[in-house]
Amino acid sequence: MRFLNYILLILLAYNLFASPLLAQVPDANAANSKIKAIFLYNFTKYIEWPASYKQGDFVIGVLGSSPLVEELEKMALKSKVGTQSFIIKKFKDANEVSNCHMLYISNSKASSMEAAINKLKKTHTLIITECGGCAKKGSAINFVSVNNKQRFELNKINAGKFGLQVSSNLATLAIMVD
Amino acid sequence: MTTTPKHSPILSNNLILSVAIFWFLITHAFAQQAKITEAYTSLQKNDLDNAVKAIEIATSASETSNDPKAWYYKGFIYKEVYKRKESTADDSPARQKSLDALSKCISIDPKNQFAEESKKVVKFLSSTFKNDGAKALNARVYNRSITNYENYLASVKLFNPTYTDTSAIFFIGYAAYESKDYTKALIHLKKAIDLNYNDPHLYYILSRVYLDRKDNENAIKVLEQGQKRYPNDKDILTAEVIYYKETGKIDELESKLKKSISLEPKNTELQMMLALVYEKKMESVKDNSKKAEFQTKATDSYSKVLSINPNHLQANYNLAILYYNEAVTKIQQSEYETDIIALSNLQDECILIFKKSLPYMEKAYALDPKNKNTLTGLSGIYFSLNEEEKSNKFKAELDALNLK
Repeated sequence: MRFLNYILLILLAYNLFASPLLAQVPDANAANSKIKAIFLYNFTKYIEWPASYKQGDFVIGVLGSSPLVEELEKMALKSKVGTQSFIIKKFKDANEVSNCHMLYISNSKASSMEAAINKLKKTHTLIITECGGCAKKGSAINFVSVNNKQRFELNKINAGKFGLQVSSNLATLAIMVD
Repeated sequence: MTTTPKHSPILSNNLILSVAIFWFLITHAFAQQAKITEAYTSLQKNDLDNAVKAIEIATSASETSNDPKAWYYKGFIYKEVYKRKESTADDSPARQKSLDALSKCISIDPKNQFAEESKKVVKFLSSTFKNDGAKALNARVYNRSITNYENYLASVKLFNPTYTDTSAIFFIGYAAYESKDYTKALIHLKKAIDLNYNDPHLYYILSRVYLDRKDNENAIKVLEQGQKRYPNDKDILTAEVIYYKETGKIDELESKLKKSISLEPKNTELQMMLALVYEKKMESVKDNSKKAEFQTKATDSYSKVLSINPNHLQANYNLAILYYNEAVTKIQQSEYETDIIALSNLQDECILIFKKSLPYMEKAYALDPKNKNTLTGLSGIYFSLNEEEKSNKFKAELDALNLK
């Protein structure tokens, strides 16, 4: 009966499980982007924009390609800042950057930070980055990882340069950078 | 006036003709008998070709065509041809001729002069048909197997009319199933059940026939019948497991798997299947506490597999993915409005889960370093743990593999 046992073995090995290692690998980028999107949403609560920015849409610009865009677009469909709807704008390079409430500069565009800041000089834009040392070089908020955890550095001076007031509550949750 | 009858020339001619015919018949009959003897002596001298020639003449001549001796010799001579020239061939016409001749001998031998001897030869031929049937089955040449088993069954009837070899009936049914002759398969497999053939595989194969014919109702009926007869048979249970898996009856599958595992606690594949059942259940429920319950059960099942075989690639990988998914799902399901403190707690919780996932994925990687899913998984887990350098290392390995 060896041939029948063989059949059963084959069925067990292939028919039931198909090929091994087919369980789908979750999307790590999406999870990471979700955490950042939640942070960005929180920043809207702890940062005070001038009155003129509290009308119309709440614009988040993203400079450079980033999986965060997709997550922010999902957020825009579900959430609002008070009565303001989220609008997500994508910029390929610093020249394209225009007035927005927040500008997220992706790691791949870290070298364009200075140019982007210059472009937004007269606006009230919260500059957010994700590169080592960027909070010291001009951004108000810079994402960093500490002990496997996503955290953020806060440079109140840089925020102040754009006329933005930062709640002290946010400061207690942040890694402060001068 | 009386006339003396004269000698009639016509009468005289008829007499001569009759005598001639008689003489011819006598000499011809003797000639045919001589052919039988010639066949016999040729066989004794190992001159098979001449033996065949002589016996063919003898059995086709009217004088000896009903002589059981001639047919016995023919059967015997062709049996020798089979043994010496065709026993290793896929097909043997000599064996078939031998069987036909012996069958004829038995049917025309009321005095049993040659029948008993014929049956001995048939018995031998019968065993060769059976062996060839089994050989062909193992070689998966199903049609040849069926022909041989059918010849075997027919030949057995010649020397033992009341005996039925149920295993041969089952094997014909099985071979017919494999060659997709479902009608023949059904006839033989059902007959094997009716004749009480003692092998749990019978029920398994018959259920496969029904399943292939999309007759689920009869498929499970047969399996249940089999389980009644063999309550602790692992293969029947496995077949039921396969049935429930294929028909998507998850609850029944779970219960059969548990029973199978109780009979085979060291069977990692059954444990794997049970883990997959729990994963399936986990996906199908919406209630989070139920999800958690099934996740724990799936985790336990994978852990049991790994306690038996720590190098089980799929168990390592699946368990890693289970944890990895748990963390990612927790993050994905959180609201955008989650406050920063709650987000911080969520991250702490997820980091622990990612770290639980990591050793299993690392192990899967060690077992199969070139597996793209493992590399994707490792890169993703390290990315989620914000360990960019390590994440990039595995991503680079993956990219290199993708370039090949």
